[in-house]
Amino acid sequence: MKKLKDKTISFREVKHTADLARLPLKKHEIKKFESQLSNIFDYVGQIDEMKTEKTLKTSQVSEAKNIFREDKIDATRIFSQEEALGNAKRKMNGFFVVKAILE
Amino acid sequence: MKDFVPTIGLEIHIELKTISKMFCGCPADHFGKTPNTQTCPVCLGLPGELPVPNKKAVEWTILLGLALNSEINKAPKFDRKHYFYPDLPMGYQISQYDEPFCLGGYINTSIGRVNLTRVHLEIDTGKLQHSVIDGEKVSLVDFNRSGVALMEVVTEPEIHSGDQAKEFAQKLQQIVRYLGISDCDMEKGSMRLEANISWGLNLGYKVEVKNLNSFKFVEKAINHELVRQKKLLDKTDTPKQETRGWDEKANSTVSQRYKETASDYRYFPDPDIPPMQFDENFIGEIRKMLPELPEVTKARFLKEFGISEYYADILVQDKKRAEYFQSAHLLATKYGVSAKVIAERMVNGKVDEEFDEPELLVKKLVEILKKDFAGYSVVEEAVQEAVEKNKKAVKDYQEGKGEVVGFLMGEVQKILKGKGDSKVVRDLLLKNLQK
Amino acid sequence: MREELTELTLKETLEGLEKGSLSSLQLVEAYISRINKFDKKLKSFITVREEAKIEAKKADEARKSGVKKKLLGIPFAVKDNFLTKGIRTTSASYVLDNYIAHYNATSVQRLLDEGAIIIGKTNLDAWGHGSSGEHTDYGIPNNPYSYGFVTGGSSSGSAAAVAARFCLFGTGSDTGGSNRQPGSYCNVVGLKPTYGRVSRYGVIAMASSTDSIGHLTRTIWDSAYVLSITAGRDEYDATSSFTKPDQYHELLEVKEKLTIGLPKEFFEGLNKKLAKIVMTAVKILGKQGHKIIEVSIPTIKYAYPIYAVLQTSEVSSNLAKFDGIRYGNGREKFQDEAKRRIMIGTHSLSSGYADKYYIQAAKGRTLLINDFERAFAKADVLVGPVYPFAPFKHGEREKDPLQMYLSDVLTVPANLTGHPGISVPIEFMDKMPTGFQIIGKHFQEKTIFQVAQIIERELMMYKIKPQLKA
Repeated sequence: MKKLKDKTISFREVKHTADLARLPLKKHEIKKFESQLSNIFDYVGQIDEMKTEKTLKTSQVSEAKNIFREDKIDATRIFSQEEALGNAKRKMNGFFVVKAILE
Repeated sequence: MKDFVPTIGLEIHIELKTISKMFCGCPADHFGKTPNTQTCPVCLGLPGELPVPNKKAVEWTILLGLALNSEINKAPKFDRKHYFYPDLPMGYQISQYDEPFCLGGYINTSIGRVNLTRVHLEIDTGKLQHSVIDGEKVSLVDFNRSGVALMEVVTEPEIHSGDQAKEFAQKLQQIVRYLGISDCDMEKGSMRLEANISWGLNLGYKVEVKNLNSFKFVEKAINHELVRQKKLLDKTDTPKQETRGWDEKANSTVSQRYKETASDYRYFPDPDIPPMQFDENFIGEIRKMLPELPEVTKARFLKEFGISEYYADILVQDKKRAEYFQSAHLLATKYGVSAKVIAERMVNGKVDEEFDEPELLVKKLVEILKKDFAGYSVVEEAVQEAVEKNKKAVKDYQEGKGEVVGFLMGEVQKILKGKGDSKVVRDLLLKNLQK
Repeated sequence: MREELTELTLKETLEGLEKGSLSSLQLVEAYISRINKFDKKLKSFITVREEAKIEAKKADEARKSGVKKKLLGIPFAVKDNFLTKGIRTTSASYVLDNYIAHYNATSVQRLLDEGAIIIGKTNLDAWGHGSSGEHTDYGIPNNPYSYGFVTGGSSSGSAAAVAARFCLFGTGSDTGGSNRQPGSYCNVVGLKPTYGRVSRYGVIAMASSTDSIGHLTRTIWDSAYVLSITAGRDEYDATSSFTKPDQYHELLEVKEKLTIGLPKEFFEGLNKKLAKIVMTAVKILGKQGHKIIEVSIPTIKYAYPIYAVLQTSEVSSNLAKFDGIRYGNGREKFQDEAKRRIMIGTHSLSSGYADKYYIQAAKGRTLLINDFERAFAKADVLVGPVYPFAPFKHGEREKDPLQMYLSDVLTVPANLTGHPGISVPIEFMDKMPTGFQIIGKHFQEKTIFQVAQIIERELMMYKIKPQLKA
């Protein structure tokens, strides 16, 4: 059921976006972001005015092409097991530990 | 009235056996290594990390595309595919979305050609293991595999039976091994297969089947699944769009979770990796690296050597064997030993395992021929006869009386009227006794 | 004596160390003493290293034994989104908090290799998200020239620390103006090199295609000297350039007459007081015989919305690695600003919206680049203001996030196109620091340094000390 004055981003869309981005939000937060994000997207929507039918996308401004590395070991960067696990909150027997994902 | 046709598409992931990972210099060989000992800022997804693509992995992917008759994309790119999972350290997988390295291609099976959609390159994830700690269900994560170069081959939904799928997978494995780019071993996980199965493209569903870790299971699972779906369709039910796994014990597919109608991966070009632009020269240099492929070798063996198709199939199974056979024949022609003899000995006697170098095998064969010694198969028959006639001696041997071998060798030579080469007789006798 | 030490610029300090009229230990002790006295109120640092004193002593010994390095014994600050090995790195967010980095950012490593000493990690808008310095979990820094007012951001701490004479230079990352803006608000030089000029490896990525690694310094010579050390190809960063860096500090004298372009869109509707101050700086260039022309960059009208979409899209992707499993805390610890940007980006990339937002913005970026190319066909540099308004009070603009974003309007274009930009201090406005922005052609940092030095020589704003509160 659509309300009379629709926000550019609805409550449901904010919730969906937050879920996609794994951001745990409380109901009052979703409400707050609903108006903030709607304002922002209202403003951003003006990019529609640009005539881009014949324009290519730019996703890089480095002007480089075909940058590769040789297939060899770089021992200087390999972490010991201790270093790799160094900042983890939960670890055991050399593994990172995480709550089980329910399938 | 709908036409139900078994409609199967395969997605095959193949781990490349490059020395280092796809975007960093960590070792790519992770099988059996102590957990989390082969990681660096890049493959562990640390803040500030940046990927730099492995040239060999790119070349090998293009090489596979060339071997499969694909069109090589001159302007491919890497994209980020976003989803959250503990084994995916960056929260996205670097993969390829709309501009993969290879487009199209095909493999011919005995039941018909199977066209490919694409071959692309992406990174592998870490490994998850389930466990329980103090009653809490947890997952243990190891990132040694994270970042390994992984090729994905996607077929069009043109496979129509379990055994065609099996044949396709076997042929693909053979080609990949011929190219030397992967061990492509289903048991070790360097080849992983998923099947999308339905009874038609317009029925509004397809079922993804995972956990197929042998060719045997591929065939069984597909056949089982087709039957399961047909039962539902016959009752005018539409099978659920979902992911199922093959359960060996239950001998059936089991529901794992609903397959969402295309997750929102929010693909966009990876801004850390400059775009690629290839010209004919670059692709040509890779084309030069193509070895003779098994289909071609087989055809050539049949034509040039007149060996049977059965022998030819076995000899081209493995590139090393085919090369061995080729070398052995070249050497043997000098001495008038026929290709058929070599083929027969390799297939039935596995002599290439016994003689490391083809040259040594050929020398042995020549020796036998020169001295008019009895051929291998003749000796084998004589050995079998002697063993059957001398059951007590065989029993003595089995009880540890090694000296009985000399007696048995004599018996074999009697049957051969003395024409057995001593070493050959001894070896074949021992082989028989130790069976 | 101590006061005098910390008044020296990097150039003067190097000369002093060379001559032997001062030691690294004296220097570091003087700086740390100032930090301990004044930073409680200023809040420019998140982590301060007492170990720097030991390292300073070692540097002095090394110098005595004949070691020659370009920054031997020089204390500098590192913005806390740059990884520093063995040193806490927070990105000013509780999501990281006590994260101890296991490797150094390449740009930091190069400075350390030349003997420089890290005196501490500076405050910032968490993750680079902001242009005021207010979005931090570690206390909002004060503008050294006016307490209670913002420093600008996101390299807020580095700019404040350099202005407050707490160190000789501070590193900074500029994604939408983050070095130029705090430079402008804190009366220091803020440099944004060409995209790809300095390696991004080891700097927590904000928007990968616009992040540019630079620094804050008191003077132009100082800025040029530091760039000559950090610039250059890095094999760990595929986007870093093969173009050979110059010895920028040796090329600061202008040799020919330049054409200075004024983009008319930068001045449309600009605050009159600010426009006057900016034009005074332009006149200085005119007096030196350089040609002043007007240029137009029509797509600038859309530069901010293009940036908003592209930057947040890349942010949403780059922050996906913070899941609390391998390091850090849970995602619920992100502040509102980070959450907002992650959601804007996620939405801009999502199914059904990507065409309208991400793809359209990426196409718009091409149009903007084309406009800049046309302008640079006529001019050697483009100049104008940095912020459309003077430093504001803490909390004043927070109420409306959109209003806050609009303050980036003048700086984001150079990030979208990759061009180098610098902010050099000009006359104060309403008793608050102001900066003059100079944008150059790709890899022509030497030209923007040259033009900036003309302004600096005439106005000498770097001599104006802030009055700090203990």
